[in-house]
Amino acid sequence: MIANTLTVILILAGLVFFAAGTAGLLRFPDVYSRLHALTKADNVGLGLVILGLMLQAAGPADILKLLLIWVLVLAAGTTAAHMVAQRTWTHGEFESDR
Amino acid sequence: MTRVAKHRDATSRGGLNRARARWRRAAWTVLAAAVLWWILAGLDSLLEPLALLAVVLAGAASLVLPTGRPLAIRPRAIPGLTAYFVRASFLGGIDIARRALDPRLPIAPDFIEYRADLPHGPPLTLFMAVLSLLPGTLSVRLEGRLLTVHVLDRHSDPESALRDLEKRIHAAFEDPRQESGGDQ
Repeated sequence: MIANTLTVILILAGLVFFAAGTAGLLRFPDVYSRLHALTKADNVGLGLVILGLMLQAAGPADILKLLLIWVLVLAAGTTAAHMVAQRTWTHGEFESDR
Repeated sequence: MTRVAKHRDATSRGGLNRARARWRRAAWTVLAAAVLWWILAGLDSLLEPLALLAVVLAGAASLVLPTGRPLAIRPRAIPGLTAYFVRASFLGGIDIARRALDPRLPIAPDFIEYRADLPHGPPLTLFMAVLSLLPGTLSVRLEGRLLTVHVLDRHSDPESALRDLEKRIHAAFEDPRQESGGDQ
C-alpha cells in the first residue's frame, strides 16, 4: 500500500519534469537552451519514474535492470546533447524560427 | 653482467604483473558478463549452457585482445562522485524545470570559455558529459583543452561550479603524468 502510493507520487513527479522539459523545448529561444531543457529535465523525470517503478520490482534483477536503463539513457542523453550542440556550433542552427 | 641479470629480472617481473593484471581483467569481464546476463534475462537463463559459453568466451576474448590503457579511476572515489553527480543533476533538473515553467522565462543564455586542466581521455570525457547535466551548463565544443560552454544564466556563477566538478574528477583519477611507473 505504502509502496504503491510512493510509486504513484514518484511517477507523477517524474511526469511533471517531462512536461517541464517539453515546455522548455517549446519556449526557449535557441537550440542550446532547448538542449538544456531536454537533457536535464528528462534525466530527472526518468530518474523519478524509475525510482517509482523500482518499488514495484519483483527482485534485485529487476531493480538493477531499471538502474541500467537510467544509466544508459543518461549517457546517451548527455552525449547526444553535446553532439547536437557541437554540430550547431559548426554548422549553424538547423532551421530558423525567425 | 649483473645489470643485464637485474634487467631481465625486472622485465620478467613486469611480465608476471602484466599477466596477473590480464587474468584479473578477464575475471572482472566474466563477472560483469554474468551479472549483465542475469539482469537482462534472469537467473534460470544464466545457467543454460549457451549463456555460460557466452560468459566464458567474453572472458577469453579479454585475454586474447590487446589490453588498452588501464582506467586509472580510484575505486574509493566512485561512491562520492556518484553521490555528488546524483545531487547535482537533480538540482539541474529542478533548476531547468523552474525556468521553463516560469511565465517570465528567466534565462540569460551566453557562451563562456573554460580551460580544463584534466588529461585527455576518460577524465576529460567524463567532465564534459557530467557538466551537461549540471545546473545551467552545456558542453558545446572542445579545442585542445579549451572548452566552449553554453550557460543558461550568465548571472549565475558557472565557472566556480565547473572548477568544483573538475577538482572532484581530478581527485577521482590517478594522473598518469604524475605516476612514477611503479607497477607497470
